[in-house]
Amino acid sequence: MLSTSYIFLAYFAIIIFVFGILCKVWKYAVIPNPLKIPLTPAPTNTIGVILRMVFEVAFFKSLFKSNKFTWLGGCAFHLALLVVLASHIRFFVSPVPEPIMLLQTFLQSISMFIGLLFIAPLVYLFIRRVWVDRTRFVSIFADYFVLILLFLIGLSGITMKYLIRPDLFAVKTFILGLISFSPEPIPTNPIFITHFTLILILLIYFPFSKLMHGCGIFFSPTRNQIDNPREKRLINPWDKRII
Amino acid sequence: MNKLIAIFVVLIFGVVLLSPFVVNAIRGGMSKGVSKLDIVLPSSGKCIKDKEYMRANHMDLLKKERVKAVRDGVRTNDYSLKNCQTCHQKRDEFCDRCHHFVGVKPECFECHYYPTGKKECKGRE
Repeated sequence: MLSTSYIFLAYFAIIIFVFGILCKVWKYAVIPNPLKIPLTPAPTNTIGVILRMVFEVAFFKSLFKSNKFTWLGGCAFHLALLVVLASHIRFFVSPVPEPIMLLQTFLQSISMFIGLLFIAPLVYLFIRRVWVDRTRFVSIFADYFVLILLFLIGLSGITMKYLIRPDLFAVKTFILGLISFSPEPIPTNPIFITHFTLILILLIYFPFSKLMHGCGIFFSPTRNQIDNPREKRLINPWDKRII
Repeated sequence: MNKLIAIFVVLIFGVVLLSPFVVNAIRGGMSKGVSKLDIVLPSSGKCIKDKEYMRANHMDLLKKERVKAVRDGVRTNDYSLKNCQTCHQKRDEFCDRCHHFVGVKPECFECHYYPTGKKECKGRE
């Protein structure tokens, strides 16, 4: 019964996640850009814009320029997220490829550090949100909710690694069963079920939340526009019939 | 312009999401049937703890044993690797099967000898 409902819920969450993101990306793609508004100093050619986006996405350059403390928290968290996701690959592929095995061997040795790197920035960013007057003023429930959700995911993950361990074989069997469309029963470890539930909540919530910044950043007109308004005139899409 | 970015984003997203399926399809991870734990178990005897406990927490016992031996100098044989070997004689038929499957690389065998059942000696593996 538990397994059936979780398998159903998992597929439901994945469908919402994938189609939600596709819909949002489609929405971002078709929305017109009426104005040329690159944030200066802006690159004047395409390669420059690509470089700008790379720095923006990989190192959060504009956040670095505006607030070093927030940047530190954000950067640490995103780095930890990347590493944590990379170490989860081993649950999705079978047999585990050699490069991932090597990566895993390295990550295993620093796993406690990575766990801390994941949840400490979340606590820090939460405190910042409550502490700094301006930030508290503009914060709504959704801002806190995402931080708490990610914190609980990290906490349950760490608990699973160090305190109440699930049977990893059962966990991997369950996940492989899900992605090969021949579902297996869910492991009975309560912490795993908690972790999994929180992930599903995250997946369902993702397309409707500010977490879409991961896709949205590519579409921000102040960053992705080339600074060439004189060389190439931008015509407002709904002015075309007039001109 | 924005449509190009959309294609780019969807491509990245698609590659990340679909990569496990592709890897599994190429390397045949799905065809074998994952529901069965493919280890060779001794025909008789009983482990020191029950199966569920051992599957999840055997590393705790080994680590405690290690700390006891190395830090306190108390060497007992209850939870040692040697005691494992009395029933589970071959590493590649027992330990390695599960560890390879879930992608865990224990440090035990970098120092400790645990017969693999292979004839040739390949050194540490």
